[in-house]
Amino acid sequence: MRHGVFVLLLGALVATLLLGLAVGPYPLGFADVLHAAARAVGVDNGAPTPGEIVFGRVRLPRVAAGMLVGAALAGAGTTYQTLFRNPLVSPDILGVATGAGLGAVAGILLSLPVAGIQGLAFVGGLATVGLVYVIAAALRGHDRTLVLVLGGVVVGALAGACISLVKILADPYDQLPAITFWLLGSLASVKLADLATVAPLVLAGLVPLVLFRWRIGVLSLGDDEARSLGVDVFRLRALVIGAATLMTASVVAVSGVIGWVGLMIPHIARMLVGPNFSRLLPASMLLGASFMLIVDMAARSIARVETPLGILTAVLGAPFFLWLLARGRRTWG
Amino acid sequence: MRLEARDLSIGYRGHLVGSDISLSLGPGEVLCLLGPNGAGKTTLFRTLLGLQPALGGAVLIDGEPLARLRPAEIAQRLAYVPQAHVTEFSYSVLDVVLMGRTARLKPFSSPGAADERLAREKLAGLGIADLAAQDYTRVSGGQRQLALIARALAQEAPILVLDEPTASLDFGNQALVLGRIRDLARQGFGIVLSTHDPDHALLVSTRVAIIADGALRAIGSPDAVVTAEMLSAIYRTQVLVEETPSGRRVCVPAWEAPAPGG
Amino acid sequence: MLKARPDLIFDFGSVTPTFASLAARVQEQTGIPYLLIDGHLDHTAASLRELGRVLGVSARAEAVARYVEDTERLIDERLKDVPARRRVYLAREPNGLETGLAGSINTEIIERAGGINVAERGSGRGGIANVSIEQVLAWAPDTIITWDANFFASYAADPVWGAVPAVKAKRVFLAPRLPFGWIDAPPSINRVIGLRWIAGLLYPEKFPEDIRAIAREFITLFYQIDVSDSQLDRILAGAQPGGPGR
Repeated sequence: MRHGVFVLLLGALVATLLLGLAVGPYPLGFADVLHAAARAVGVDNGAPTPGEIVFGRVRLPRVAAGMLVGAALAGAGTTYQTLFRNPLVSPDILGVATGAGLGAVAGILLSLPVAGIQGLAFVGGLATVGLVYVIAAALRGHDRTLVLVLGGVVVGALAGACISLVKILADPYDQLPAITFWLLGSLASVKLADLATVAPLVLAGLVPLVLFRWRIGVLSLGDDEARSLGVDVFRLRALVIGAATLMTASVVAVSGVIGWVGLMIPHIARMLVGPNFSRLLPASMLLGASFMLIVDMAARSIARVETPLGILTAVLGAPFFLWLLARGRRTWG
Repeated sequence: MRLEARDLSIGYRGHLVGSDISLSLGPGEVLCLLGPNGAGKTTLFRTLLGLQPALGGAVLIDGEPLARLRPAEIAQRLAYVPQAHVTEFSYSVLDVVLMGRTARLKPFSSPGAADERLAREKLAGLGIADLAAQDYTRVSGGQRQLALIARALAQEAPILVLDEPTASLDFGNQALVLGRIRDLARQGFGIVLSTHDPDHALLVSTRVAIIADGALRAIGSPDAVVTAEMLSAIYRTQVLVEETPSGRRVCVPAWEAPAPGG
Repeated sequence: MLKARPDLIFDFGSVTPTFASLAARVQEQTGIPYLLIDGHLDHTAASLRELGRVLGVSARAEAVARYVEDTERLIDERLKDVPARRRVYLAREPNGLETGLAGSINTEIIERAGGINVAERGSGRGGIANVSIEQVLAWAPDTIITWDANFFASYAADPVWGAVPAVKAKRVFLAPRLPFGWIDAPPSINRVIGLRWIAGLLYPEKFPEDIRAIAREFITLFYQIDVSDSQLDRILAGAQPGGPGR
C-alpha cells in the first residue's frame, strides 16, 4: 500500500502526459513526432516541418510547463499548509501570487517586452513576501505564524489594490484585455526559453524542501513543540518560506495567476497518503502535475481561443471543495 | 545529568513574572512544581526548556548554560511533554512518537527502520504498543498523553519536563499516567512536572517547589513543603492535609465533615 | 466633468441599450446634452453627418462623410474581381497571441478591406481573445498585421513564428499608430485611412497608389492641418504597403 499509491500517481501522470502531447489545435501526425525525436538525437532531415516545430517547440514545452506549474503550485501549497498548520492555506497566503500579478500588470502597463513582464512578475512575487517577512520580523513579541499570515493578508490586499489601480490606468483598448487575461493564467505563450529559466528555479526551491522534509513535518506541531524536539524553527521556517516562494514566483511569472491548485491538490493528496510531509510532498506534486495537464488540455480544446486556466481550476475546484466539506470530516487528512 | 536553575528571573520583555528562582534536579528525582494557575509555572517551564530566554540568571544542564546550546543539543538532554492536545493533522500514534527521534537524526535524514523499532519499544514500555497505527487525534486523552510521553522517551533524553500531564484526564487515566511517571523515575530519568493538584505532588514527587505570585515560596521534600498552612496560603482557602490509613497523605478542603447518613 | 462645463458630451462607440441608458442617466444628472453615436465602421458616414447636424456644421460634415463614402465605394469597386482573398491574422500584445475575432469592432476593418480574419468567431461574444501559437499555425494566415513594436521586433527571431506562412512570405506589417490607431486602439475615424492602407497591403496590384499622398490628403481634410514630410515619415514608419513586409 505504501508504494502502491505512488505507482498509481506516477502512472496517472505518464498517461496524462501522453494524452497532453496528443491534444491540441494543430493536427499532429506520428511522423512529426518521429522526426522531432530523430532531430533531437542529431539526425538531420532537412528543414523541420511545421508539425515538427509544433511538437518540439510548442506542445512539448507547453506540456512540460504544465507539469512544472502544477507540481510547483501543489508543492508550495502543501508546504505552506504544513508550515501554517492550516489545511485551508494557499500558496498566495503570503502574497506571492498577488505580488507577481502586480509586477506583471505593471510590465504590461509600461509596454515591456515579454521577458520584462515575466521578470517584473518574478521580482514582484519575491519582493512581496520579503516585505511580509520584514513586517513580521519588526513586530516582535507576537505569535510569529499569526503575524506572518496577517502580514500576508495586509500586503496582499495592498498589492491587489495596486493591481486595480493599474487596471484603471491602463489603456482599455490595448492593455486591459491583456492584463485581465494574464491575471487569469494561461500557458498559451510558453516557450522553450521560459522552461529553461523556470525549471532550474523551481528545482532550486524544491531541493531544500526535499532535504528537510522530515523536519518540515515536525514544524506542523507548532513552534514550541518543534523547538523542543530539536528543530531550529526560526531558521528552517525562513528557508522553507523562501524555497516555496521561489517555486511559486517562478511559475507564476510564466503562467500568470492560477488559483485553487495549491489549495485543493494537497487536500486530495492528504486523503490518499496521509499528512506525513515526507510522503505528502511528492504525492501532491505528482497529483498537481497531472491535474494541471488535464486543465491545460481543456484550456486549449474547449474552443479555438484559449480559456484561462484560473477559470477552469476554479470551475473544477470549487464544487469539489464543497463536496469535501459536505462529507463532514472532523479533522483534515 | 543535572538540570539547574540559578537565580532565575523569568518573564517577557518588559514584564517580569518571577525572580530569584533556584532549583536543581538529578537522575531519579521527581520535582513537582505546584501552585495556582497564573502563578508563573508555564513561564518557568518555557524558560527551563529554552523556549524563551531568561530575563536574568541562567538555566544549566550539567553546568552548561542553556543559552549556548542549539535546539538539537537541548533536545538530546531535555524532553518536553506538553499537555495532550489534538493536532491539526491526523498523524498516526507511531508518527507522533517518531517525531521524537528528530534530535537524534542527521539534518537531512528521515527516521529509518532502527528508529521505528525504538519508537515501538517506547510505546510498548508504556503499554500502548497496539495504538501505533491508530489516528492520534482519535484515541482517548489519556492515551494521547502516553503517546506524548513515548515521544519524549524516543528522544532518549535523560530529563523529562511534563506540563500538567494529568490535566483534563479522567481519574483512571490520571492514575495511569502518574504510575508511569513513577516507573520512569525508578528507571533513572530526572523528571520535572507541573501540576495544580497537590495530591499528585504527594503521590509521585521526591521534591516539591511551590510557585505562587511569581516567587518560589518553598522547595523541599513533599512532607515538609505540602502542608496545610502552605496550601491554605497559596490557594487562599482553608485546606487540611490528612493521613490515610494506608499511610499516604491527601489534601481536602476544610469543611465540616458531613453528618453520618446525610 | 461638471466642473469643465461642457456644452455637449459626445460619446462614440457602442450604442447598446446599456450604454444608451447610461447616457440618459448622465444627461439627467448633469443637465448636459449627451450625444451617443454608433461607432461601427459601416456607420461612419452616417455618424459624421449626425454629428455635423448637431454641431451645426453640416457642410463640413458632408464633405468628410462624402470622402468616407468615396473611399468605401472605391474599395468595394476594386475588390470585385480579386481572385483570392488574403487570410489575415491580427497580432496584438508583445507575444502576438492576442487577436480580434472576425466581425468584432476590433477587426471589422480587415474584413471591410477585403481580407479574411482567420480568427473566426466561435461561440464567444467579445472581440478580443487569446490564442496559442499552435492555433495560429493551424490557421496558416498569409498576412500578419500588428501595431505592437515589441512583437514586430522579436517575431523574426522566433523559429515557431517562422513556420507561419505569412512570416515565410515576409508579409508581416507594422500598422501606424499616429495620431491614433489606424485599426483599433481605439476604433476611430483613422480607420478610414486604415482601410486604404490595409487594402494596399493585401492587394497592391489593385491599390497601387502611394499611401503617403493618400495619408496626407486624409490628415489635411480630417484634422485640418498641414502635415510635413518628416511628420509623415514618423506616422508611416515601419508600415510599408505594396513592398515586402519585414
